Amino acid sequence: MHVFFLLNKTFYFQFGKFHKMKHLSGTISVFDLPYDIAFKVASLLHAGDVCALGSCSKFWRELCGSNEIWVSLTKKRWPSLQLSDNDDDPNSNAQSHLTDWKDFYVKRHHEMGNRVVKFVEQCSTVSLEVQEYLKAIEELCSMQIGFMDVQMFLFKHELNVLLNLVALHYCINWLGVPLQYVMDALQGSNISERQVSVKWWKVGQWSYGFRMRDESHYRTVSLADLATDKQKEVLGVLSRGAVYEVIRVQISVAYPLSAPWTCQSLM
Amino acid sequence: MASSSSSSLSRVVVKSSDNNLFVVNKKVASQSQLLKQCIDNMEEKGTNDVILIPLSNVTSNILTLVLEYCEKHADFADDDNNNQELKQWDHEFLKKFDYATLNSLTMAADYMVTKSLLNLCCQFIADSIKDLTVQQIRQIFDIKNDFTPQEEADIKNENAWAFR
Repeated sequence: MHVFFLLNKTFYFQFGKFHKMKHLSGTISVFDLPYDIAFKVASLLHAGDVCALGSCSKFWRELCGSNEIWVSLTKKRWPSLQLSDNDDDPNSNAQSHLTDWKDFYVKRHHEMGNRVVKFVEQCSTVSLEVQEYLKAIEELCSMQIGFMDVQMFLFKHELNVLLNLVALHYCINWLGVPLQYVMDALQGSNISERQVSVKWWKVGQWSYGFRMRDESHYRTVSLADLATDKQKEVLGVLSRGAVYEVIRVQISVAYPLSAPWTCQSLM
Repeated sequence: MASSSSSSLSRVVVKSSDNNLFVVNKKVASQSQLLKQCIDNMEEKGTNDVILIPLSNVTSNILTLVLEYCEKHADFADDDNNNQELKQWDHEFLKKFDYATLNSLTMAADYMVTKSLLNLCCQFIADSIKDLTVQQIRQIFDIKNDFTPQEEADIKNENAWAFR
């Protein structure tokens, strides 16, 4: 009998002679997992991937169309629906058995898409006053847009950066999405470096019986700055709006600075 | 082979489906709930013999891998799943395999009730499906298309919303 040291602490015995371990791929060449494992895999996927996997074969189509998968996708995407997790609740149980959840999900997806399209049409300007800005955020709120809807429909490069900003602000302040997730989403959609300019005016203070000039403040920030807490002040100004000493806040698209004289001096 | 009574208690022998024997440290074996259950049962009976556990569903190739995983994880506490080093190791560990191996490993993890390995494998498979087209998934995972052309067109239509 041969005794081999294998994996530091585990011994490996083999009767007869030890032969070189076969190539690990073995003879199984079909991706056929038992149902419960396949189900576990499918339930870890996002909706788009579930649909792709479900288009592969009859087995996967049945599995990927199952209500359990789509109930959980619906819950994840729209937490505000507050679908009950409690299976003992007869109402929720009846509800989840009666509903075709994939159908429900797809319908709601389209509905959200339509709402956003209408919203986007209203907002095609290059500059916004803070009142309009805050109204737009409230509108997203009333539309019950979820974080995943934002990622799908509003964190888009082809949209106005001000819309990206409205959506970003909505996610952080209203939905309370952790900054890291927001940042990942911005980077994933390739919009983290897009910039906006924020300008605000404060009433000049009184000094020795004279009122000083109104102060104006100006910042150009990238969306990433706002999602990394670097520009907390700007986000604060935007959230508060024009109140107290701040008389006006204007948000506009930041165009890349054209500064030919610096270029010339460098050359 | 020098074996004292204490060493026989601290180790078990696991037999693979192709009749190879693996001597496994008890702590390592306990990573698998199936093996742990066997050990606990035997210990309750108060046996002092070496415990032999036959696994009829796991070949030695795959068993070697499961044990490699268990050995690594036995060095870490149960609640240490967020350990960065361990996560990195897990990823490197799974990255080496082709899908057929990964497939067998997943089934072995399920059979041997090594929950963390099962979760890891499922997550790994799910991650590799991410953002692939239907054709790519079929190719990589060797899934046979058993739809008629008509069915296939219907499905494509039905899922068009998701593939924009």
